[in-house]
Amino acid sequence: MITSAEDRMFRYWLGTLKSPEQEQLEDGYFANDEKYELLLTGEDDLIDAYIRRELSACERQLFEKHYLKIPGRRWKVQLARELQTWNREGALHQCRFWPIAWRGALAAAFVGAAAVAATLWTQRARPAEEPSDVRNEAALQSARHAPPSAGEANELPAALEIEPVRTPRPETSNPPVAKSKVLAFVLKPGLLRAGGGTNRLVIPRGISQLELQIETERTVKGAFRAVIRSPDGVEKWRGEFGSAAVKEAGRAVVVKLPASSVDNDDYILTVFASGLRGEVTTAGEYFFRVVK
Amino acid sequence: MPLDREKTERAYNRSGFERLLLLLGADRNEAGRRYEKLRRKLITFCQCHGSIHAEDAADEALNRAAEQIQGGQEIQNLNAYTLGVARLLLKESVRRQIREAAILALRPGLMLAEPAEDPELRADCLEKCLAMLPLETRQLMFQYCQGEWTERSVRRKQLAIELGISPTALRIRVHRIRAELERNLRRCLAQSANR
Repeated sequence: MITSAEDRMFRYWLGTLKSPEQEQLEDGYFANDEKYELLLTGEDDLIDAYIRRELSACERQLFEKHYLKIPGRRWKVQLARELQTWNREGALHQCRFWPIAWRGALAAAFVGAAAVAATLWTQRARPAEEPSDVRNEAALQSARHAPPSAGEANELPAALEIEPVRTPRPETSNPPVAKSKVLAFVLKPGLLRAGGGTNRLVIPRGISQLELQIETERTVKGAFRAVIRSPDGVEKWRGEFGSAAVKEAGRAVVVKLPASSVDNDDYILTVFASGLRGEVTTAGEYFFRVVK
Repeated sequence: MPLDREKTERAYNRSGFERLLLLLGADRNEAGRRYEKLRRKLITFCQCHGSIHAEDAADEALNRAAEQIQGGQEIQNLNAYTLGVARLLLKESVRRQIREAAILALRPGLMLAEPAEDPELRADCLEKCLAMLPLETRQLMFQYCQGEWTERSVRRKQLAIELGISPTALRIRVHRIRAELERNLRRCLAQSANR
């Protein structure tokens, strides 16, 4: 349960606390260092609630439009996401932190096991691909978050269409180590939101890189740019790619991005390319939902 | 002579700054720490009011306070005084902020894009910085953040009881751990980038 003090701090960070409460809070933290530190704990809690999708739609929008507009704050959000990933991966265990000198020897030992692990990795049946503790859509909704709409229950067929293709790593790779895991998805023009469905990218724990294999609506020649935004237009990530990422004579492109760039949320990916006269054109736009 | 004027102004500011530090404490080190904390509060204040140049605004508030002190004004409560100056500065900058907002609206990617960091480098730095924390500290930080909203609240109360401290003290303790981790991570990334 959220206390009134916490609520006041949340509203302050979101820019919605009004006078005289706002002045009272400010006078308080300027006069008292402990109150200032408490205010900062409120910021930590707000960021955690954001990355866990525990904010209401309105709060979420405020967070993105007000809180995230200040330079440097995205960095804090990214760190919170990374800590959440570490937490889920069992970073509590001391053995996760092997001395660097040991790693060479351990890596050699892993190489032998990698072939077996890679085989198991690719042979896992699809239902088992989602980790056992990945929260389902309902579980993602917290006590503070509105329940999913009835329409969302019909989104599974679309999710099945977006085939998660696991890219097996070479035998020298080490699947159990999070940093080496890449997950590939195929985005097709037919999977646009206009079709009524929501495309889901289910990203299991430990995945560090995403590879989006995108079939473009217009032929892409040469370099292109991919931009991921939230549905209300807030930019989340962007990347510039050379012609090496253009495939199938320009009818497809490959976009690679850190998995930490996206969280449990809805996104729109737009591919921008150069047109015939050098003008910037949209080569494709794709709506998708991320489930971690 | 411009150079002489510059010299005089610098001396004037330095003297005002020294007096400002004296207001924060007789011990210079302690006064320095208090100055930094006050500056951080001012930055937070300006950021929460939507200023994207919060550090500049905080410095300006402190400079103006130093000038007033130098000019002979008696300031009883420096924290409250600089807060008042910062509020005035925000009012002054409304017009500039409207201009900035218009620019941002035209080019939404302008402010939102922050310098990209190499994900591998960042992961390495984070791992190193986490490893630098004592195990119990790390455990506390992760335990504090585990679970969904309601579950987290219950867990935090239990943790506070186990540690024999108040929930507020626990919140602050975990915040300090996170803040230290953040500082170390920034330092590690900066050092790696300079190599």
